[in-house]
Amino acid sequence: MTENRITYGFFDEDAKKEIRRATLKAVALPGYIVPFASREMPIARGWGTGGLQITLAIITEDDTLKVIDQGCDGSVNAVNIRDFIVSVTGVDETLATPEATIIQTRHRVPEYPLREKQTLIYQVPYPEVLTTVEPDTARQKQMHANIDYAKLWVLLYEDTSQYGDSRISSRYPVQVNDHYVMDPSPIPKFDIPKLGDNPALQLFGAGREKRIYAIPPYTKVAPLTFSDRDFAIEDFSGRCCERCGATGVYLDEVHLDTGVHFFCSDTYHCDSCKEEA
Amino acid sequence: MSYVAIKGGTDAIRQSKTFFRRQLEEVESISDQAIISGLRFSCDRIMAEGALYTEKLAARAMRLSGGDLLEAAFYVRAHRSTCQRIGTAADIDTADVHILRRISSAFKDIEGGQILGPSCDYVIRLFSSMRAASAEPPEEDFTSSLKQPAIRVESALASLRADDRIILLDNTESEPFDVSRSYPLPPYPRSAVMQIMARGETGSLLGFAYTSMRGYGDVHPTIGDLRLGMADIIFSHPFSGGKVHIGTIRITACETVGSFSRDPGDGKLRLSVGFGFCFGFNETKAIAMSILDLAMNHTGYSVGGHAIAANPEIVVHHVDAIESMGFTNHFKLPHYVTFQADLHVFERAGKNNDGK
Amino acid sequence: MKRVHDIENMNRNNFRSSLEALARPGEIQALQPLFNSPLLAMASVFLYAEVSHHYNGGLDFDLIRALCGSPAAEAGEADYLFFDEPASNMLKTAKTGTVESPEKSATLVFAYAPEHLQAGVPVCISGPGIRGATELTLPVDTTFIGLLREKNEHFPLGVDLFFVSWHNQLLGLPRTTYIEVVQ
Repeated sequence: MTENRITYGFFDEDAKKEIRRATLKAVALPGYIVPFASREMPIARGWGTGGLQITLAIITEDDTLKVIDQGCDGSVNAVNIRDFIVSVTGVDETLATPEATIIQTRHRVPEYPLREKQTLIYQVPYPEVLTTVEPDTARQKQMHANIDYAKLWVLLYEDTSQYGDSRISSRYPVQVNDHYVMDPSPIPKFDIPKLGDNPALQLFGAGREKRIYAIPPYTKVAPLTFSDRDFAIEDFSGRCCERCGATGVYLDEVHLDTGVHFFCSDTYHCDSCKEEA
Repeated sequence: MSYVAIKGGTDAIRQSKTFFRRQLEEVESISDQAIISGLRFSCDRIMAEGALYTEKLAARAMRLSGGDLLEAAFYVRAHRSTCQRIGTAADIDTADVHILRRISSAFKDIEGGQILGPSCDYVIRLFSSMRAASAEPPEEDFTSSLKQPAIRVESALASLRADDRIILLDNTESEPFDVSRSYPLPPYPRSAVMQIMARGETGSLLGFAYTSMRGYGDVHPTIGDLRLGMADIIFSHPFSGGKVHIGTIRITACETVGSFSRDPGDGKLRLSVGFGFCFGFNETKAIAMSILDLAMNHTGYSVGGHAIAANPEIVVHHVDAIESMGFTNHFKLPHYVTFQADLHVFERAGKNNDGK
Repeated sequence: MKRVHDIENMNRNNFRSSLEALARPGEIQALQPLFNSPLLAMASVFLYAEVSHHYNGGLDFDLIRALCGSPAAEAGEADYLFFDEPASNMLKTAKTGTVESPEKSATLVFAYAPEHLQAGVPVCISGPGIRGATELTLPVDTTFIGLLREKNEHFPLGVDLFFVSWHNQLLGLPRTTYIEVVQ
């Protein structure tokens, strides 16, 4: 058996076309999870194969790639994924959010506001927002078909009445274009306001669960909230990044020998704030 | 003050990989052939769960993974991903397989005979009964029969079938489904479910089938026909149409008989039968798979319909090694942003609780 | 004769343009033609063994079929429909998916010539992908617009459209775009 010559972007053309087909339908159906014949990758399922498949199916020689995990370009998995993509495409890579044309991310939206020439690709573990309240595939599809999210609302209500708010911290359900309710991937509530009316195209890939979905640019995205409650994001008031001084950004709580410290989750944003200072 | 160094990630990964390779160095002294023939059953599991019949790559994957069969299957599956599908081979009729071993628990004796073949079924599992490494040469060449043209050996259930005593399920599919090329939706086509099980992880299939045997389903089915052998793969040339024999593979096939039920077609009572099949020699898997096929398609008896193993949703989404292993291990990835978010919600809920 | 390698390069660039076109309706994208045809270029981007197509025009589709392995289908069944010029008669026939599986709907690709644009309808479009509203001229008549609006009236059911010009420009209209004829 001869070794396969690695084609541009790793996959054969049919595999790319399958991913591309699902991506286009996803854009035409904002927030709807489109099934696709997800391919196995040399990187394990659950480690970003969905985001990776989208990136490899849409990337061209002209792109500049950024990959982050928990907001950090240096995180071990982000490094591994970025190296793999570069090895099968030869694209330019960058840490600078404003310079990237494709940003593949796990669990964070970059702090720098995105622009029209950019595409943000999310790695998704659970594409189905109804997973927590309904595990059966056929019933899930029927609920989306009927825009019936009653079970989700009941879950939110039960938590709110007992604890004052939903216990959902990341993967907070959002309604897209006043139609489908969607799982935004495990980003914190802090990042939810960035999803709507965004100049960039946002694509979501779940490799293991085999779904692709999208939020087109300039599209309405609203978290599910009761009319008498505000949507409460994480509270970092009174804190700033100890490294660059930034406020109004998501901070990581880091436990060192010197005690508990807070630093920017978005490492590029931190680096550039520090340079400016 | 120190912080996560951007460059640290790359170095750490490189060192980690080198360390991993180095602890497995000795495996390089084991040849491909030793693995393929001596660690036969590992090789077969890797091919079946990798969903690609390739002894050489299975052996290489075995070495690269240090014997971790899930990891090894992953290598093969990832490789399969890079292979283009150029067509579909001819159907294999299990009656045409070159039989190496064939038994039936349903009958004392059967046409073609009960052929024990190579089996560990009756081995006493004691370490002290192992002989020294210098064995005598075999008395005869066991594989010589395989060089003859195959004798057609009908299933032990053939006479029951001929008497119309076995339920024939409706086949609504014109072509077999290929889950690696299309995404199956409920109600799942039977061929899609079979394909998922054929490439499914032995332990997962075993676990679910066991629930069925122990009472959460149709209790104590009977093996009608279990066979191990070599199947010829015939392919039609894409342009000339001529038939070509492209290879021979080891396979395991198992038919299991369950209880009877009223056939919805004509109201007659008939027996239910399940089928299991996989690459390589893996009797446990084929038996488990046939029991799951039985459980999913014949739910009329006792707890039948409510059982875990009878639910295609459970089987379709939870038996793939590459998926379950990958996701289980993904929890090792950094989750500090989401954990931080969890803590915020926890704190706020706590304050709310204290206020009550 | 294009090498497979070159076609794959062309496909990924043209796909990217298609993605941008559908994500930002009304914004013109550039297309690289295949065998001198922007329509065949789009066929090459979209078609493969798992999707069907319908084409009744004058171009030679045989090479595309051979390269992509996409089976031909009736207009009401096809996943992708290709047209040498904008015509509304197939709008009624093309499949719109189901509420459980709205992705099982057709994508229609219309080629157009200068005269279609000259005779075209000025419209105002809004919806996902469009900041506020955009005014442009579509290379179709008002009957077409009427039929398209009817077809896409019950979201998520609907069809998605691409227009490709004689001078290799691409425009996308997903079913989410609201189209109003400018008086």
